[in-house]
Amino acid sequence: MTFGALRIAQKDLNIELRTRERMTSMVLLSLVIILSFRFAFFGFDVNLTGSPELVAPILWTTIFFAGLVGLESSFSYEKENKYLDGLLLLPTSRFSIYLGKMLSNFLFLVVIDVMTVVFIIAFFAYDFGGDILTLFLVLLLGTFSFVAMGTLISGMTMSARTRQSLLQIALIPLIVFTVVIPAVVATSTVVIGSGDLAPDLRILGGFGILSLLLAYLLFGHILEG
Amino acid sequence: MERRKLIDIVLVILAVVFVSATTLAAFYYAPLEPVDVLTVVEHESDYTGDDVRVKGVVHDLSGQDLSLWDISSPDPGITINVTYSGEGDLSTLASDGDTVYVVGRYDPDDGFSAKEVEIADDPDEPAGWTSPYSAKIFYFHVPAAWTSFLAFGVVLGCSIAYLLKGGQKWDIWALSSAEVGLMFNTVAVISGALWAKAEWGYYWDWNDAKLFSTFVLWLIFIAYVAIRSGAVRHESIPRVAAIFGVLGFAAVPISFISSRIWTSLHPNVVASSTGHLSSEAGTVLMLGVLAFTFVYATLFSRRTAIERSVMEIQDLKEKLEEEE
Repeated sequence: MTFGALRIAQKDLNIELRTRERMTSMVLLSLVIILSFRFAFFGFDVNLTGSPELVAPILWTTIFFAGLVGLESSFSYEKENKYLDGLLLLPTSRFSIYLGKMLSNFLFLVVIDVMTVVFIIAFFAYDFGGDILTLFLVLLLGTFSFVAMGTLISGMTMSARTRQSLLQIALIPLIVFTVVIPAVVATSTVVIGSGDLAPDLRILGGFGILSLLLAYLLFGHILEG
Repeated sequence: MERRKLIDIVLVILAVVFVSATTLAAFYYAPLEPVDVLTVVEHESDYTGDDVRVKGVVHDLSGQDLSLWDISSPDPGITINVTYSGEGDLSTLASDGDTVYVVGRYDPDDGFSAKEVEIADDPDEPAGWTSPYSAKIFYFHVPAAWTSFLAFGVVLGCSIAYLLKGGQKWDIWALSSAEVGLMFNTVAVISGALWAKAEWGYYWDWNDAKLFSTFVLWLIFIAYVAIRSGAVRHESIPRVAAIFGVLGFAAVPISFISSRIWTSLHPNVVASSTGHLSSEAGTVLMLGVLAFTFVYATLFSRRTAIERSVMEIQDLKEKLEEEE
């Protein structure tokens, strides 16, 4: 089961290494969103060092929207090119397809995490200092939780004509309490340097695992028919 | 076919009768809770215990019939004891002749046991709720919220049945119930916001767990309906919607318990330790719940009929195209 998942993730990585289609659009989107924030704050002379409470919302808004683009193309690529039947014929469980897709989405989004942090450092001249390792722990956990539910919803909405907007409409309400708020609060805790990280990390991890469990139960139903 | 029509007519009649009854009862029978008005005639200012006892006279609100305000209250004019266990010292708060508003429960043997006591600036303006007449919206707000939970529960049940057994019936029921439930949820959110404006002074507070979680629930079922309508007619859509219905229902218990476990200004009147609902208010509330359930049943029945017609027309269309 896990072996099949790894092979599917490897296939996605290979395609990405050759075409660089998804990474390019995701990284560029992340850049454009950060720049939009930069220009939106133009008149206010915003200084993130002075108001670090803005770092987490900017960081996660960027990651979520760049991530949504990645999630959207995850299954639509297979669907549009009629590769989905090929995937379904693989001698592995449906859940492995989900796991493999989740793994590749996760890896792509981790790159976006890193790039977004780099963009914030570059365009807002913000110094994360010694927090950067703890920050990446929060980013990894938040990304895992986001991708775990996101891949499930992405699989659900792939056949819809309006899947781009549908993925966002369907996914965001489900993750408001469970991913968005805990991720932003945990990141703020790290950046501002006061408060307890553990409860928010527990929500993120717990929801990620719950999403895996739901995918295990439901993903077979999604790919049927 | 005829039987269905008959059921529809009966449901419409029941809905109209019960909604009218609830409206009348809410305005003419239900008490304004939790307002009780007392005029202090003497108080023990040197009392140093945790509880301060204040003797008061139940005050008639500028000609209002007190029995209309709260039937569980004693008759106007009699002297009762108030045991105050809230913050502060009541003896410094109230003095002889003051009109005080007491939020609490009246017991014929023990008098009032009060958690909140307020001195009235204006004796004509009751203070338990800032706006006690607006609190009447409670008899519509709570039934609407409950009915939306019921409707989403039906979505959950039908979605699970569809996933396990299949069958177009479950799919149509789930879709219809989601749309009708969404409408009731909208009613609950809007009526809540209107009440909040009258009572709290603002329509909405994003930091309030109850408001936020109910809004998320609303968004989730917007998404459910969007999944149904935004898609081409595709075999997988009912299944996808069913899965989303199962996922989305998780927000219902969160919305229900949120004001009980997280900080929220939202009152917990029902199914909580702080709630106190007189039997009259409870009766009107139950009437409201019944009324809204009948409205739900009526709309649900109409909606399923429409969806069945849609399916029938689409099948006929497909047949026609095949013949051509």
